[in-house]
Amino acid sequence: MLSMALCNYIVSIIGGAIGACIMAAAASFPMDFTENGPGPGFWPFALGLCLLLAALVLAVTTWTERETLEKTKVRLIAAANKRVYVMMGLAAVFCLLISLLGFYVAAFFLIIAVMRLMDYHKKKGLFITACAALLFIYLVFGLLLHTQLPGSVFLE
Amino acid sequence: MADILLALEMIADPLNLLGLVFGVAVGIAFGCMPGLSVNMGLALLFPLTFSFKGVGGILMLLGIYCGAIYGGSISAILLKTPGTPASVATTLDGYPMATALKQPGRALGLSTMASTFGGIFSTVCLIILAPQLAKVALQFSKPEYFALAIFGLSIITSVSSGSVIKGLMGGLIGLFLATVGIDAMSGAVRFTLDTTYLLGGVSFIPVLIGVFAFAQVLGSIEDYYHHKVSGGELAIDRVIPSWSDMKRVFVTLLRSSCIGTFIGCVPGTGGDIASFVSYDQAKRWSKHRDNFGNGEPEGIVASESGNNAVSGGAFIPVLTLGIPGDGATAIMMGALMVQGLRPGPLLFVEKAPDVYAIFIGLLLANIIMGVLGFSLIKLFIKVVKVPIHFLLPIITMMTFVGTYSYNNSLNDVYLMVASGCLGYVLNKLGFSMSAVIIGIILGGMVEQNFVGSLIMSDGSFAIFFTRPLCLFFLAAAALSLCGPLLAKVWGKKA
Repeated sequence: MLSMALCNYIVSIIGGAIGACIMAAAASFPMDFTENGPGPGFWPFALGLCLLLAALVLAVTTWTERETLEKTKVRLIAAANKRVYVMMGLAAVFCLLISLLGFYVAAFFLIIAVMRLMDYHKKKGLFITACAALLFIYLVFGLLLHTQLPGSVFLE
Repeated sequence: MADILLALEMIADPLNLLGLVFGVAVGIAFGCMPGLSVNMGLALLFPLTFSFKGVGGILMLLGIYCGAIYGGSISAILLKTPGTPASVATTLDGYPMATALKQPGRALGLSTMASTFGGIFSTVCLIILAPQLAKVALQFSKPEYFALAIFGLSIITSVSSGSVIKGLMGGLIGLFLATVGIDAMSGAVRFTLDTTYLLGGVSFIPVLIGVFAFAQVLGSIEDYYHHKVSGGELAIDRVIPSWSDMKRVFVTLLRSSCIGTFIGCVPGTGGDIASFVSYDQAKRWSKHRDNFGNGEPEGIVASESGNNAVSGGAFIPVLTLGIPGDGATAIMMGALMVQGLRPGPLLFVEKAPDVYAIFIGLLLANIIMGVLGFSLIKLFIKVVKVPIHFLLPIITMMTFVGTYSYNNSLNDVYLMVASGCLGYVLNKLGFSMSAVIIGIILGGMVEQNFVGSLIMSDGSFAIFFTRPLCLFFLAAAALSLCGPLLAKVWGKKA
């Protein structure tokens, strides 16, 4: 488990970097005041600056309260989190499969994969749940709301 | 009067009425299942609002909002696992009444009655107070709106997140995301990464479904690993509260409804704070304070009327000032904007029938919630017991379908997955996703009023400090942001 102090330092660095990037990107737009008000770069530049300052304040407050924050643990690499990361991976694979296999086929596999991830392995239950969910989606979104869900590239 | 008749006509549309009843039923189901939340229900069904004409979709969301707050009490009472954070206080007396006293029906009946009363009470307050506040807000100009939005953001970031700085950072990221796309004032194309997808700005709905629904799915998968919920069998007796119970809890019911409505008006608070404050006050004033924690009816009623009374109160700043108080009202405000209804005082002038339809809809939602609660309680108890390993895969699919159906765009789906994964990690690190969403929603308003104010003053920032109301809101914003720091310094000196 990571300590909240360490996480806060990492967040400060990333937050500060994002703030700096926003400022740099905003600086490419005009910022001077004209009859139409300040240029389009002014507001995002101010937001980037505020984010940079907030990241600095977070780092300083973490330093001053480091004893308490060292004791606060953040669960990011435990066994339960690994399941979450597998789920994220499944979602990413599903995104790729949608355009390849089509929504319904990809969804069938995703539902079964998620249920197995949650320690459910009965084949009958897996099959019935996946089919029932897809039927529900087809009836509500396909027939009732006329949503054209993506089809397979092989059928185009 | 003509506006009210038009509003009644909108409500009387069978499809709109059906949407309202469907919303309440779905809301109760979402609320009573641990692991699902109000925000998740609202975010998931948001895309369905486009299938309704006019305010029909908003009515469905109102139903979900009211139903879900109430639904949380069912699992709180039966499983000691609150379906929503707003029902945590209900477990204190609800669970002992259901198990130790073996009166689950009495506990559920009291919670249904209190939730319905609290919701109706706060809606009546909304109907009375909102038009008056809107009249005052009509005097506001651009600098006041800018200051008000900053105040709303500051109070939300300081209250809703565990850390003020992290809340502020979330709000700033939300404000920045709102700048992506074509600038409304200058027409400049900003931060689109040379893609046409981002020309219209960061799509709000995929981000919303990502951070509130998909991130919640990921969180539930983690929770499932630690704690597999299973409920015991409880026989339900009568659910209609007895006359003696009604007499015993009436004063608590009124007091808690007032507290909930007031807390609901304050941006950044919510049902959880309202229920605990109401519970605490009920215990303080009760003749039976020693019985609190052992199944005291006043304890259940205080918590449930307090958290449901938030619903009407929370709509006062949303409708009159355009400031959402939490994630749920931010989603509702987004839905209003998508339907072409821009919340703020002008809404009461330009779209009065729609405003009245929302008022009547909220009132009806609470009444329907009571009717469904009393009549279908046995069905909802069955819903509580549906295993999460059947539900989560289906909800995961709904996040994908809901996102895709909004624009028929796979890019939206990718954005939703990315937002959800990021939202999960940020939640773990103590960031408030509500602050990010509210930042995105208020971003346009803040920037346009900021630029508009500077045009009014020929570029002088003094305009923000020379107008009394503007100065008041900015000072209040500074105070709410620095408050926790000052409290710490004060505490150390003392």
